[in-house]
This record gives sequence, structure tokens and C-alpha cells, in this order.
Amino acid sequence: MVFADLFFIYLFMPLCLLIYFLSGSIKARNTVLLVFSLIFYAWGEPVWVLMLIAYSFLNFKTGMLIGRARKKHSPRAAKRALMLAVIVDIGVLGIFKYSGFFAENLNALLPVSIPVPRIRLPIGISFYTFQTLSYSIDCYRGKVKVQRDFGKFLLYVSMFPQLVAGPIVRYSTISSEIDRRNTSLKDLSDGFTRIICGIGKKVIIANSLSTVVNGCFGTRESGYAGVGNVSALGAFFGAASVALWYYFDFSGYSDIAIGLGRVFGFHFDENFKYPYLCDSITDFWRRWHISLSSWFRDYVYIPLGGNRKGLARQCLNIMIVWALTGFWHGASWNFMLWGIYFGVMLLIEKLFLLEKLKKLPKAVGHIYALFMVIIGWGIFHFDNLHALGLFFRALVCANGNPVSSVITRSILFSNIFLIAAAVLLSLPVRQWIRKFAVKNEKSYYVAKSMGIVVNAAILILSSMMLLNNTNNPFLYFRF
Amino acid sequence: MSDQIKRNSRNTPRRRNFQSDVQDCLNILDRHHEEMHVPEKRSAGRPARKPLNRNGQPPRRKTAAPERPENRRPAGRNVCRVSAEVSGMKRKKQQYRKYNKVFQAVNASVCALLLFGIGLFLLIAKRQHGFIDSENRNRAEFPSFSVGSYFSGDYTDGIVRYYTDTIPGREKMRSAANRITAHFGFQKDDVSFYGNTVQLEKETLSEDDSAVTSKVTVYIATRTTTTTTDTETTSVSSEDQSSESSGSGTSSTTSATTGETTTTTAMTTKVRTQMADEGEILNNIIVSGRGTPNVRAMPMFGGRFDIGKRYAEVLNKYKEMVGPTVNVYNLSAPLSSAFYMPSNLANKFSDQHDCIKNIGNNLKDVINVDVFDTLESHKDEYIYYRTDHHWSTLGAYYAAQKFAEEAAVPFADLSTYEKKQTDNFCGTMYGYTKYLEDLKTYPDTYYYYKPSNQYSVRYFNDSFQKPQESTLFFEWAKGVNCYSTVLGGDKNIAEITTDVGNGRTLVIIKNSYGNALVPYFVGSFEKIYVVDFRYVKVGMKDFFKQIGATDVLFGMAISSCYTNQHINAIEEIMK
Repeated sequence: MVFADLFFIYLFMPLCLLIYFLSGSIKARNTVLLVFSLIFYAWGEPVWVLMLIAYSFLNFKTGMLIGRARKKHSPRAAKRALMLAVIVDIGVLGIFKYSGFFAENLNALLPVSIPVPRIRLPIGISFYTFQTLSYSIDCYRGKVKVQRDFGKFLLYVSMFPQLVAGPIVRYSTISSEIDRRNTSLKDLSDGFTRIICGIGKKVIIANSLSTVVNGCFGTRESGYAGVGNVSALGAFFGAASVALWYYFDFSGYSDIAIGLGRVFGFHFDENFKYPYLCDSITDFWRRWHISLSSWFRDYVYIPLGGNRKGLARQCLNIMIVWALTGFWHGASWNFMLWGIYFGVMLLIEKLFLLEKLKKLPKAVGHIYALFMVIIGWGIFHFDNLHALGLFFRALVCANGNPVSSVITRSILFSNIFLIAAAVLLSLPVRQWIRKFAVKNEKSYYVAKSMGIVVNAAILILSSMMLLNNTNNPFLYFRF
Repeated sequence: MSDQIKRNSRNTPRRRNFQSDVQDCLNILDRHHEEMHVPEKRSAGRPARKPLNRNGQPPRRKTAAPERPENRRPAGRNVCRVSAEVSGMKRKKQQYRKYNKVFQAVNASVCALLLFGIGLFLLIAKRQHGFIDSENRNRAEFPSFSVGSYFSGDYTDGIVRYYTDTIPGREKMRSAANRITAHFGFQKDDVSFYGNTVQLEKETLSEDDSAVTSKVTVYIATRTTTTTTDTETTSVSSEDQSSESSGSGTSSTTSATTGETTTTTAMTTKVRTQMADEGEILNNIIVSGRGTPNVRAMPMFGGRFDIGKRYAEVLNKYKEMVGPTVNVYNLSAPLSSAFYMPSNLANKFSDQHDCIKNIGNNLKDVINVDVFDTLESHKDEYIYYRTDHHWSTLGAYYAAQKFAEEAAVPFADLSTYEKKQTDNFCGTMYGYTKYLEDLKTYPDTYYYYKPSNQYSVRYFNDSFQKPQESTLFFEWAKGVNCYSTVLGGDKNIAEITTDVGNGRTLVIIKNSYGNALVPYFVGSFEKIYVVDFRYVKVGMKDFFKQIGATDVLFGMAISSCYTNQHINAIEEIMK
């Protein structure tokens, strides 16, 4: 089941909310959430839901082992239990997500012919394996108390707001809220607003931008058939549209997740903080997919030594972390390339560029960062290295393509207001309105009322657009 | 679990983050304000009058509190320095905060009302069923449960699809949504693109490729057995027609008697997986002349020469299979965008005539019927529809005429046909352009031409069983279905028996473009079999032998000749 779908919005979600709020005690509410989460996952993965449960049970047990070992003050036993958990988690992720990739590449590099396993990726596996890893490592570090109730642990792993599309919620974030939480009126109102904004971002903006991108480069199924001939401006404009598309798609899903969590009384951390306001790549990664970059920082970078083992080791650590970050996004070389691209940029900035940028006007850093990020999205988008090469050549007119062409001009003009709105909405418009509206009482009330009207309008328009079931790309199939 | 509940929440460390810090600052400011001011009741419109401060003086205009020991904020945890402007903003906000709860309640109620109200409506409302005119397909039905379908995910997918497809008023709402999203931009140059527009590299035909010319030879093959359980059998033995037929190589007997005959078990049935329909290939639509009665929606065409070459090679394999006794032809029908492209887009897409010639250059012993120039000479006539992706029956007539020349068969002139018409034909383009209203406002007229000679039609199912007598023209078809007036649909194998006694049996292997050709062959061939390569389940090798085919025509839109999935299908049904 996906969030941006009429069935979820009007059948599953209201039913879940109804039964949840009719339940009195926390225990009943947790049970309701757990049941609905399993139904949600089983809807799309009728077979792999069993694996999810078994996998959670394994992690639950290793967590208990770690807890017991810590109580007995035997760090070696604790470490052994942690190793077991890590092996299981990474093993599961590796087998399901990366085995085909490894087999293909081994076949290409070595004179062997391993049969290439074609396992269909169970949805959300990248998210829930990282969540259980965070739990195991936090248990080992003593940061969280071991969860002794399997039902609650399974609830943490499988909770449907964040299961399929993130954010990566750490156990420490919600451990107390599993037992004690309440939904205030503010939670309910803000939660609904957040959900509707997420739906609007995904359905109205992201889906429409996907047709713009496909118009420039061709669809993924066609092997990006148009990238060989797109004009140079079209290539850049297409990459910018990719940047906007992915932002609205991912942040829209995160918004729905955070909003849903809020309605149930959970407070997840923010995942996106207006990334296109960044003034350097370092700043960009503090605003984009925060749950992922902080996960890698806390569970890979710091254990590797971080910056405490000298400059050379720090550079190596950065490169390893970013290669892995890129690779997490999908089992394909272009993703690792994307990660390494950013790793190199971050290194350069850390070593000398950031200081230089501080001395220049902010706009320079802003333009530089946006430019590099957009190119990065080009790398991310083309999962076919041949098409990626054509994309770069198109950017510099090396394909024999013109600087501008009638088709891309037509696509641009027939979507120009959409793109302008997308650019505007990627900025903190809400805060500006708030700042402006607080000037006097009347504008404050007007702004608040308009907010309610806008909510309703977004929901209705998104629902109408969702009637067209053919244009609803689901970017998370690789996760 | 119980001990965790018992444990006081104070023992677990409160999670600190940016939000909690700001909240703490606000709490401190709240307490500070409550100590300093007692909000007095006020009537509407009159701004609040701040009480005098400790020194008996009216409060200062400046929003920052003066730095005095009493005013210094209490030291303690989580104190942050709030700027003057922010604290002023917060102070104003305090005044409106009493209505915040109201707004929250209204917001939550509105959202909940929408969610639950619409959700309930969708649950209990009567669902729509049947055919969607503008999308030319049937609505999804509620899937039937089976363990297999559940575990494959089809059952749950089917439920979701059913839920969305059968919503009452769906088409009206979709069209309304599209009217809104049409304001995402504006049209330039009187041309708009719909669907996934993509530009392929324009290839040029090399002069060195010589056109392989093939001549038609008139052969009459022997038929083997018939498959029907009907009493009627047709058996033709080679003695009846003279000319050169020298043993077709088959050693099976011809049955010259009536009575039941056995079905050939050599017919292999094939199950085909989901295939791209023409609509999916023709996903790129150009619209010109919006707002005028000449509004025209055209499918774009992009074809790579190597794919066309592959198509030709499949046809060559067919020719090898049937041998010298059967003529094989190719008729690739151009799309309307070949003739009606707006001038600012000329030469931006693959050249359709070159693509037809490219096929011809790669054919061996197969006759390439190139109808491009014929159609071009008639392009001021009504040879293509403006609101549908097909050619018109008139365009098919001219193409059929060219074919008849090449096949050396008699051909009835258009004047001998009875002309009929169905008005208000708004075709498939309406759906492909996501309900462009201009096409509905200025629809096409569907003309069709009924041959004057005697003929009878039977339809078999896709496994060539269970024949049923019927008609060639389904005259009650209307709306988006007008084009299906001829032959009714694509899923059956049609058999037409005419009074033309020339012993020639034609098999047309086609997609929907080929349907329009069929009426014009009624005066040219003794028997015609119409087979859609997307749906047929019998192997062509035995089928040709069984019915005694003398001519095999591959008649389809050029887009299918350049689509790998369709070429695969044509190759698969060969066996």
C-alpha cells in the first residue's frame, strides 16, 4: 500500500484513526497500531511480511542478549551479541538488495559465471534494517533500555508511518512514547495539516514534475531514450526538475510520515529542512534526509574514528561513509558514484573551500551549492551508465545537440507556473507568512483561516488528481 | 511491561532538541509576562492598554525589557537568548493565542470531516461498472480471491485498482482536475505535447541500401483439414485451380467430403503476457489547431532503424516458413503525424517514409507495399481522424487499392460501396490528451463503406474454435467505439467468405489499423482471415496450412513495426 493513493487516504487511514481513538488504553492503542501496520505491510508484501516479523524477532532476541550481557558487566558477550545482530541485519539487507548487483559485477570482472539471483526487493527493507541496527547499537552503548516486550518492539519496527518510506526513526526517539503518549488537539490539527501538505507535495507537484522530467530525458523503461538528443538547456532544466521532483516526492512522504506519527502521538525528528536554501554542500547535507546522514554519522563515521585519528584517517572515513550513503540508495554504480561525488565535495569544502566561501557573499555559495547539487541529481537519476554519459555530454553540447530546442521550450512553457510554484514552495514560505501575519490581529486570523481553507483545497485537488491511477510513480521500489 | 509503566517519566531523560529548547524559552517568557501583566478585559477594537510598570510609569515603547536585576531572566536550565524582535513577535502572539485552540479545533474538524465523510461516501456509494468511453477500456472488476492471487499480490492490487476505477463521477472529476492542471503553464506556438514526449535521433536512410523488389506470384495452395465442428466444410483440391502449383510439399490428404473433421492437434496454443497496447506506444501526442474546428491530435512517431530491420527479419522468417507457394506482403501504415505535422515541428521526428523504406530494404522476397506516396497524394481528403489515432476508412481504402495492385487481385472502386456515416465520433485522443475538451467540441464523423458483393462472416475465438455467424459491420457502435464498427473488435479470428471465385485466400496479420482494410478486400479474395497478433493463440505455421493461405499480409501501423514488444509477439505466433 502506498500513502499517495485514494485507498489509503480514505479507507485505511480513517479506519485506523477511528479504531485507534476509540481505544482507551495505551496497550489497546499500541495493539491497534501494530495490527494496522502489519496489514499495511502485508498488503504490498503478502509473503515478506513474515520475514519482517521473523527478522524483528531475531533483533528482539539479540537486544535481550545484549541487555543481559551488559547487566552481567561482560562487554565481550555484549559485543558478541551485537556482532550477531549486525551480521543478521546487514546480511538480510545485503542478500535482498545487493546480491544481484554483486553477482553481476563478479561475473563481469572475473572469469566466473555465478547465477545472478533476481530477488524482488521487499519494500522498506533499507529503512527497517537501519532502524533495528540503530536499536542494537544503542542497546550496546547503553543509550536505550532494552525492550522486553516483543509486541512493542515489533510496533517500533513495523509502524506504518515510517516503515516504507522513512524517515529512519531511531528507537531512542520514540522509546518513551511507546509507553506514554497522548494526542493533544494541537497534535491532531498539526498532524492533519502535515499529512495533507505531504499529499499535496507528492501528488500535485512531484507527480507533475515527473512528466516534465520524462519529457526531457525519456522514461526509465525506455532507457532514457531522449537523453541523446536533448538540448543543453533542456538537460540542465531537466536536471533542475529532477532536483525539485525528488525533493517534493521524498519530503512529501516524510511529511505524511511525520504527520501520521504526530496524530498518533509520536514525535519524529524532521527529515528535511529546506535543503535548497543551502549555501554549501556541507549545509545541504544538514538539511537533506537528515535521518540518514545522522545515522551514518553516529553509527559508521564515529565508530570508524570520526575526526579523532588524524586528518588522513578523517578523509578516509568521510569517503567510506559517503560511498556507503550513496550505495544505500540503490544497488547500482551510479548511486555509489553519487555518494562519492558528494564525499569528494565535502572533503574539498572541509579542507579549504568553506573558509573561502565565508569570505564571499552568501549568494555565491548558494549558487555554487545549487549547481553542484543539481548535477548530483543528474548522477542519481540515470541508473544506466551509458545514459549518464550522454547526459553529461548533453550538458556541454557534445552530443551534437543544440543549446535549445522547440520541444524542451514547449515543455518548459507549458509547465512554467508549476515550476515557479515548486521553487517557491521549496523555500520557507510558511515562516514568512507567519512573520508577516503576526503584524496585526486581523492578518493573523485571516492567515489562520486561509490555512484551513488551503488544507481542504489541497486535499480535494490531490484526491481528484489521484483518480488518474496511471501517473503515480513510486520512487521507493529501490529501497 | 508493567514495570515500565510504573516507572515515573521523570526518571527517563527528557529528549532535548531544538524544539524543546524553544518551548522552554517560550515557557519562561510566559511566566515572565504573567508576573508583569494581568490581562484586562477589553472590548473589541480597542487595543489593550498596558498597565504601568513598577516605577509607576507607562511601559516603554521598546519591546525589549530593560536590563534590571529583577528583569533578568531566571538562571536555570535551557535558557536561550531570544532576540528583541522575536520576543516582540512572541508577545503579540500571546495575545492571539487564546484563539489558537479554536483554529486548531476547526482545522482538525474540517480535515476529519473530509477524510471520514468522503471515505464513508466512497464505501457506501454505488460503484460504476462497465466501459469507460473516453479511455476505451473497461473498468476494473473486484478481484476474486484465491490463495495464489493473494500471495502474488494481484488480489490486493486488484482491490486498490477497483476502488479507484469505479468511483462514481470519476471521469468528470478527472476532467475537472485536468482543467485545473492545465494552468500549470501556457501554450506556445499553437502546439502542445501530451504524454511522455521524447525526441529520438533522426536517422537518415543510406543511399547504398538497394530496394529488394519482390514480385508476386499467384499460387494456390492446398488445404489440409478443417477445424470446425460445423457441418460446413470447405475443401479445395489442387486440381480445381490450374496454373503452376507444383506440390506444396504436404502429404496429408484433402478431404473432399462433408462431415465432421478432426482438429489438427499440431496447433499449439500460446499464452501471452501483457503487451503494450498501441495506446501506450502512441503515448506522445501533438495537438495543433486548438480552439478551431481543425483541432487535430496526432500520435508522434519515433523509430530506430535497427528495430525496423528486426521487424523485416521476422517477416523474412515467415516467408521462409511458407515457401514459394505463398505470397507475403508488408503494409506499414503511416500515422497522421506524417502528413499533418505543424511546420515548426517539421523534421523534428523520425521520417516515417524513410522508416517504411528501411523495412523494405531489409525484406527478402517479401513484397513491401509502400502506401506513403499514395496517401500523401490524397492528404487533403479525410484520410485520418483528428480525434483518434487511427486512419480513416477512406485512408484505408487508398492503401488497400495500392495493395490490390501489388497483389494482382481485382479491386472494387469506392463508388460501388454503400456509404454510411455515424456522427459525433470523438476518438481515443480525448483520453490520451487527458480530456482535451476541444476534441469533444469538434469531433470526427465516422464514414464507412459497405461492399456490394455477397459475403458471409464467421468469428472464431482466439484458439480458432467455436465459430459463430455474424456481420462485418457493427453499425450500432458509437462514441469512441466508432472505429470498431468494422469487425467489432480484435480478439476474435474473423473468417470472411466471398463470392469472388479466384481461389485466393488472404490472411491479414494485423493490429487495429488493419481492421479498416478488410472491407475493401471483400471484392478481391475468395476467403479472408483476420488475425490480431496481440491476441491470437494458435501457431501460424499450421494455421496457414489448414486454411490454405495463398497470401499473407502484415498490415499494421508503422508504430507496431518499430516496437520490440510487438515484433516479439509476431515472432512468437509463428510456430
